[in-house]
Amino acid sequence: MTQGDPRPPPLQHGCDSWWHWSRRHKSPEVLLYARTALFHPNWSHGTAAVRGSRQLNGGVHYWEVQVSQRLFGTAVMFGVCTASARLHANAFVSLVGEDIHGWGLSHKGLVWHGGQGRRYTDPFRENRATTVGVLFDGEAGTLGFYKDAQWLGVAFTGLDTITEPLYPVISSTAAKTKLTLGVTRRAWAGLQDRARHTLLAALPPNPRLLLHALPLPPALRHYLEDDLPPSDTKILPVSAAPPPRHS
Amino acid sequence: MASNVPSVPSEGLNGPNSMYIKLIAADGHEFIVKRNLAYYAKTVKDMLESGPVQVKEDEPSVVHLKKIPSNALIVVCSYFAYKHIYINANTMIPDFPIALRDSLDVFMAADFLRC
Repeated sequence: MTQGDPRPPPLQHGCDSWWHWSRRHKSPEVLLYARTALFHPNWSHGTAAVRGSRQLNGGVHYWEVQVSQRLFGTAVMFGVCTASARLHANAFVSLVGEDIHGWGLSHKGLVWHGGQGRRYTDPFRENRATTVGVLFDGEAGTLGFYKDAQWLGVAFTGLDTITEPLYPVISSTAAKTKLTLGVTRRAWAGLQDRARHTLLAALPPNPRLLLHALPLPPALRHYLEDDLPPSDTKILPVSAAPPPRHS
Repeated sequence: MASNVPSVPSEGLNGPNSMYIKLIAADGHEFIVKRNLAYYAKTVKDMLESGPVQVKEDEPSVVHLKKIPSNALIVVCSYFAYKHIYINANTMIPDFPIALRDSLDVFMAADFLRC
């Protein structure tokens, strides 16, 4: 089957993206704490999913999901979906990609969209922890996956033609599975985005009141507020030093 | 401006398809940049191509940016060059640092120029 291509994680030259699993857009069978999603905490009689809190369209995004050792069952899935995709089912299904509203990779090594599955990579070894990386390129319209730092290739194309908002999504049919969000990165969206980052990195924590005091038109202030990290995170300024080499 | 500044041959600047165009900052500093690089700023492209007045063949292509100070415009021009070199690059892309003292001006300039 497909051999992975080892390469360093993408978007080294991008910036951190401040999104997390959404408390509002999830199955009741998903519990969230910090960046971890716990699926079916007692026992499972269906499929549960949770969506990311920000839409992806137009940008290039990369995120990693650390899968705990408890990996088994019908489908543990990673991918993207629109707001129309359902996030809960009372049956064990490959939920992400069961219809046209999602595009997903299941731990069985199949990729799903529009209810059609096809072989993409080897099935994951069950009951072995792993890290799945998802690379969404909203400009080229592609979605591809990494597994333990191995690039597995482009799984889907044509995503740049989707006009509805697209969100990261994970789903699981198996009880007590834990999926933890790791790095979340995105590409720079232009010079204004980079200047915003420099400005925000210089502000003290919780700067919303300070931003209101700046003499900016509301649209620009909203644009600044849009990239504020969660209150416990400090933005690291972009440095003039060359990036470290990867061995 | 100073009289010992070398002048760019006018053939490079004249006409609607010249290789170079001139961007003039609020404080009068003039920046001569390649047209294809300056077009990374959508506003510059729109001003020169769809503006009410079309440039004649023997006139220089000039954009007056009356609200952008030169400390911001020089960063914008550097960004055009940076973007052109590293767009579609697979090599390690260095960061594009922006000095804090310029960042608010660059932020406003990039908003106006749409880049």
